[in-house]
Amino acid sequence: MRSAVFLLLKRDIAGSLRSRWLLGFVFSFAAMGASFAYLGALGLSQVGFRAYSAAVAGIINLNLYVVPLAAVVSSSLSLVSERERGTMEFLLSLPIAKWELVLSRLCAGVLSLTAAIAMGYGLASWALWLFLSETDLWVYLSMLWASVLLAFSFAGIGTLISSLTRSRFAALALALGAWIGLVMVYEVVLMAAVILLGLDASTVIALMVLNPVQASRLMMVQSVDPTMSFLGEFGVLLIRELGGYLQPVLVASQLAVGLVCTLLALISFERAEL
Amino acid sequence: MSAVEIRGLSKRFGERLALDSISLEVQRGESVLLMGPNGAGKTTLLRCVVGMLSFEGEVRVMGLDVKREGKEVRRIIGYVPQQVRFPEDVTVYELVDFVSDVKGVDVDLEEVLGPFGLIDAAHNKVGSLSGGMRQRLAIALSLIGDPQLVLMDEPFSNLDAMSRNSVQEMMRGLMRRGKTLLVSVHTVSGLIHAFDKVAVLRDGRLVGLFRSEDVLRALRPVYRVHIRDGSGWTTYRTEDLFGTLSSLQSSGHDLREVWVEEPDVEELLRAMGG
Repeated sequence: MRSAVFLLLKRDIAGSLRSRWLLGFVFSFAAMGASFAYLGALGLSQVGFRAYSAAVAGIINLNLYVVPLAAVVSSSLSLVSERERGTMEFLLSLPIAKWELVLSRLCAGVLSLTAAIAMGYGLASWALWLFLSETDLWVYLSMLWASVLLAFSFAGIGTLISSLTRSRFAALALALGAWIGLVMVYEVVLMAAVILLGLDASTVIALMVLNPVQASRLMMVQSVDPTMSFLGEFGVLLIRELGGYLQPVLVASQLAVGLVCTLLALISFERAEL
Repeated sequence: MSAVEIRGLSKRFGERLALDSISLEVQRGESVLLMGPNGAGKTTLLRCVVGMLSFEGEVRVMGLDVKREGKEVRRIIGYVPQQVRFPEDVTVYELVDFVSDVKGVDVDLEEVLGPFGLIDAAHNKVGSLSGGMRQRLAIALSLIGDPQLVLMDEPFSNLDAMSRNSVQEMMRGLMRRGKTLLVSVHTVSGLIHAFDKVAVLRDGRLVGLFRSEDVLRALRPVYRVHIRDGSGWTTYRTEDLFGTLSSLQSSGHDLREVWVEEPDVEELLRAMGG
């Protein structure tokens, strides 16, 4: 007998494939991937991605906007939509545990987004193969990996929101609030805190790393510029403080956010009534 | 061993006490009709038995503790919810496939859908089915895996007289096969004649568990069957609702043109001291 998680996952992924949003994201990621390839090939930087240009920085930033938004919005609707449509009762009347439903929804969301990201970047990869070096291709894959990790963090946040809310409207509002807070406001607040409170370097680094968007940004920057010199003094400080641990810390931070939110979602959904 | 054993079952929704210390036992092979006005707690009681809601007290189904073994309980029972809501974008076949996979059984599509006249709709999207067809599909799905205990919450909602007749025939068939039935209704439906016992609920409390003969003797329910023919409406008064419907059908009347007036459930409550 196959596990309920696998069966739900199969059903949820089939549902994702039927929806048009996945196709939309495939094309948006393809456009971003193609831009990487194009800019590298044009020689905006003379040595591919490794020389960090403003244009590539812009594309990384765009990635940091799109991936969290897609992940948090789609996963925030995952449980609450079933509840609102009334199909939750049908699912919970079957031999399915609540935790299986939460995990299958999260996994389906992350897998669908990973597929969208991979397909999108994959569409452009042939160009990379033609124009760029093997090292640049590695940079490209690192960016993809960072995007998937970021998607996981925000899918966890979205799943938590979905388990806590009773309507799609409330879930969407909270999801957008979380996205705006972490993607846009956090950095500004952090800068203000540095100026006003005079935070020390290790506190600033800890606060940066705690936010999955910032962690992902640092991962992407380091994949392009391992010395982090692009970030100036802060980059030098990061390397000095964390050294070889920087990448593991950044990965762990994003995984931790995703896992803690998933755990909270499991507890909240287990306690919730229909 | 009892099929269902409920001891001191209480359920609160915030401040509201939906079920108040209910104790009830349903023997294997017994059919019990759960009757009460809207808001009496019938749906809540069934959801607790299925393990979809948390509750105080103890509920055992076929010897299994619903609180600890809810998933296993749902594997061995069939449940028809009151509001039948399925995912709209899948076909009937896909839904049958999903439910049988989750229950871990192999099924023959003809055997599942045939008795409910749904085999021709097997490849239609669930969203395109009428209310009556969805109700029949819900019953068909609940019988996947040949459950020993079948719980139905208002199975006659959304059904015309013809479908009602076929559903009660199906219930009689299940009784003949020794299945245990726990069915909730909010009207004094003609089902009393076919069931062994009637459990009467009011305001979350169990008024009593009575033998059907005693209820019929005390209540003497009279149904009024209105049927439209060429010359207008003809009304039949009967104490045997389904017997009358069957004879009308065999004499060539179209049961889709029938409207049934049932005695008010308050009459039952008065008759049984509730």
